[in-house]
Amino acid sequence: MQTRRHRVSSAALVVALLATVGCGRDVETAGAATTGTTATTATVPAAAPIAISMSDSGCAPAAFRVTAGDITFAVSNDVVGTDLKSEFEILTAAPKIITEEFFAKAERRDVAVTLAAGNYEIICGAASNPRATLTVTGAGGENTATLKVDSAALQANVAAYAQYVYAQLDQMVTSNNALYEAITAGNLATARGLYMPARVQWERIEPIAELFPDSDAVMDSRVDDFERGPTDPKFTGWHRLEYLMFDQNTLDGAEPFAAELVANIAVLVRSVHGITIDPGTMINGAAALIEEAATGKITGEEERYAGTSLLTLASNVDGAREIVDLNADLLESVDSPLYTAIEKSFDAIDAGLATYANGDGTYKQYDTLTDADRAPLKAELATLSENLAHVAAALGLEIK
Amino acid sequence: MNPVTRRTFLGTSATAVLSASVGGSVLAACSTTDTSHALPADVSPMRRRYAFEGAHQVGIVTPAQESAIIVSFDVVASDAPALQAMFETLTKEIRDLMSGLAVPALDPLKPPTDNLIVGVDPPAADLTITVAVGASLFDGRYGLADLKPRQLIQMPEFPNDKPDVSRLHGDLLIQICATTPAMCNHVLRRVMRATRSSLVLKWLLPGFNTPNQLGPGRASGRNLLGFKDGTANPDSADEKSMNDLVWIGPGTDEPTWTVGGSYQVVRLIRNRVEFWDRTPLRTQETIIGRDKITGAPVGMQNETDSPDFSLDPGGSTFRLDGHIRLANPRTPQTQRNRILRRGFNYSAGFDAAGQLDQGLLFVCFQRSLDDGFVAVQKRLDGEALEEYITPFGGGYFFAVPGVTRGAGNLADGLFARRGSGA
Repeated sequence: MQTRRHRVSSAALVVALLATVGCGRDVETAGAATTGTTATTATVPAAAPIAISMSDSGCAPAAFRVTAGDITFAVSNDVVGTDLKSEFEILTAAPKIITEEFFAKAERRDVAVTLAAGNYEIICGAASNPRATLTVTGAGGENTATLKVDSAALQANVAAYAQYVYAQLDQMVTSNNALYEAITAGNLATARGLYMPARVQWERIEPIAELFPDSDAVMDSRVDDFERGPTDPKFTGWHRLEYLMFDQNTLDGAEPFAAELVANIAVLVRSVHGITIDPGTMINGAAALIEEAATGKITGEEERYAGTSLLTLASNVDGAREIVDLNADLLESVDSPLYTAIEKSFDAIDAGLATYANGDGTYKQYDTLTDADRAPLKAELATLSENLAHVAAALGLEIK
Repeated sequence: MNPVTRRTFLGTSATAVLSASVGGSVLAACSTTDTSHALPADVSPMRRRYAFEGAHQVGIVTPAQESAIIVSFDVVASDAPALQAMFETLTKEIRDLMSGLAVPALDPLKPPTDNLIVGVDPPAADLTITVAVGASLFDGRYGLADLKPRQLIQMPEFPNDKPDVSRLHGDLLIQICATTPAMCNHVLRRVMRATRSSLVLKWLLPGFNTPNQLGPGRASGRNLLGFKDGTANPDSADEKSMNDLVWIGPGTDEPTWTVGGSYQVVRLIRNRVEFWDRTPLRTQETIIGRDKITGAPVGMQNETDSPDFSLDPGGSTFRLDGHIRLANPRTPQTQRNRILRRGFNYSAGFDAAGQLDQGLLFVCFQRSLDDGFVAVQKRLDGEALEEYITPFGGGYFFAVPGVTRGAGNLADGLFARRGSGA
């Protein structure tokens, strides 16, 4: 789906720049001085703007039907119930935010987007307001011009990746049910042993799971996110259980958190099955996983109580490698050296991690690694990040 | 959100429009109504573009600039050929950065090739980038043990040091200096991006400085103790003096590849500034040995005056544990101990006790570590100033010789046996 902002012509750019510089001169005059023409006003998009009013009760009108392509909304903020800024947001059912802008009281401004066919929703004012529906039909707006690989082949890879994600979700349900049962049975040793097996699936599909920030917040938040520390009642999910089991050495009080986790996983499964993964999300997911490994996991802070950061790091790498493997043929066909460099990095990271493997799917405690042990891992992850950052462009995909 | 996003902006053909017609017109248009942002007519002579090539690296006898970042790395190159390849990549990046190449056209679908911190046309900004190696690079990993500069060792702990192991030593040190912190950060990020597979951050510290406007023998810059710093520094423009004190010359017992290089000592020295600020002026002045306002040695008139400590054997004017007396006794025997200091001040937040973390990013260069910094530091052991300062990091390094050939690379001399080009 193409969601790029409307392109601004160079004439409009000149005007905008001069306005930004703000040296107090009249825009019209400056425009003429720059271009040597009398063209002075900002370019008007081809389609006429669609008026929309934001009020205390939502959008008016509450339903739109437009043709795909460049679309401009003439937004007026008529909210009177608050002096705070009001939000204008277009999103897909996924939900994925296409654009999000804020309007001061009584402000009027155009919002330009490029949309492909599909069903969208519009939030006007408070997020709790009823949403307007936006139905886009027609052929425009698809970003196929830049794609350098066969679109059908890419879509087939997306479908295969979706199956991988669903399989991970199935395993997540199983592994977390097992953890829940061990916790309700009061068996600390067994529960501790089942903690990491219940974590790996999330870490493999984290970029997809994180499309649902509400799930992320209740399932995978770290203690640092909470003002009152590990006993903050809002601190829930895996890391609350990790704190209880590995730091406090107890299952006392763990059962409600485990039950809530199982329920939240069910919500996540439904949410993920309800969206269509787009190629950009899949491809960028590989880079996102390695960024995650290179920032959050290499420090050891993710599994600070269990000391199992190497396994979460390895799970991020697994999830990224799955994406690259699925798209190997496409990537190799457009940029073979890049594909080779990425495979070399994956091999080096896998080999590096293997030196710390216990042979039973677990890894050495993270705090037993020295700075000298971590340095080559950091370098390999950083190198891989640099290379993965070029994959989307190699395939001709634009990453939002 | 602004309707013209940066990406849209760079993605259009307007990059050229910006630098040529729009940029020019904006300035011209503004100048008729508003001159407050105009550049001064006389551009400071400090704004130079230094050449990369030379017998010595830049950033050593080059006058110290306003800003610096000193960064130490672990080298994780897998073997000697990979290490050589790293130096080639690093040299190319430094050449490009110092030559001020304009940023080529950017592809909106790709990560930008440059961070654009200093824009598409990097200013000269007095940029110098100086590369040095640590003793650990000569351990067993790369088969370079016999090429180690003879005096290069891991910096020992001195009596007043409180070492922070996370901010000590390193295989490779890069000293980035320029007129602005923006330029230093631009260079840091470009260099790191080019060398990610081989260099892993160990520690870094940014510093700042007031460039000396007064010429040799005087100092306009002050350290964070509020004293003029660098008054008695050797004249870095005096080639003979630099050959005597700073550069490894031919015909010594050092490995031949080191000729043109220099030992570099970096010391991260925290000043206890709150305590210092509540110390009486006269006490401060006798601890340092200089008048705080004029910079003159205590009891003397001018900053350039040179005290004869032999006339004060009991320390009635210059206390025996005063800083300048111990650092440079100004005797014929101690002339060989003079070092070229090129330090910066640093300010890095505050500690758990609520006290500022400020101090000196001390840097000095010398032909001989033993005759230079080590000798001076031994004399300073037990100085009165110790109560106010806590050295906690840094290390001993060797700034490699300069590159004289267009095809040459930094540290080529380490790989002469392997031949060029990996």
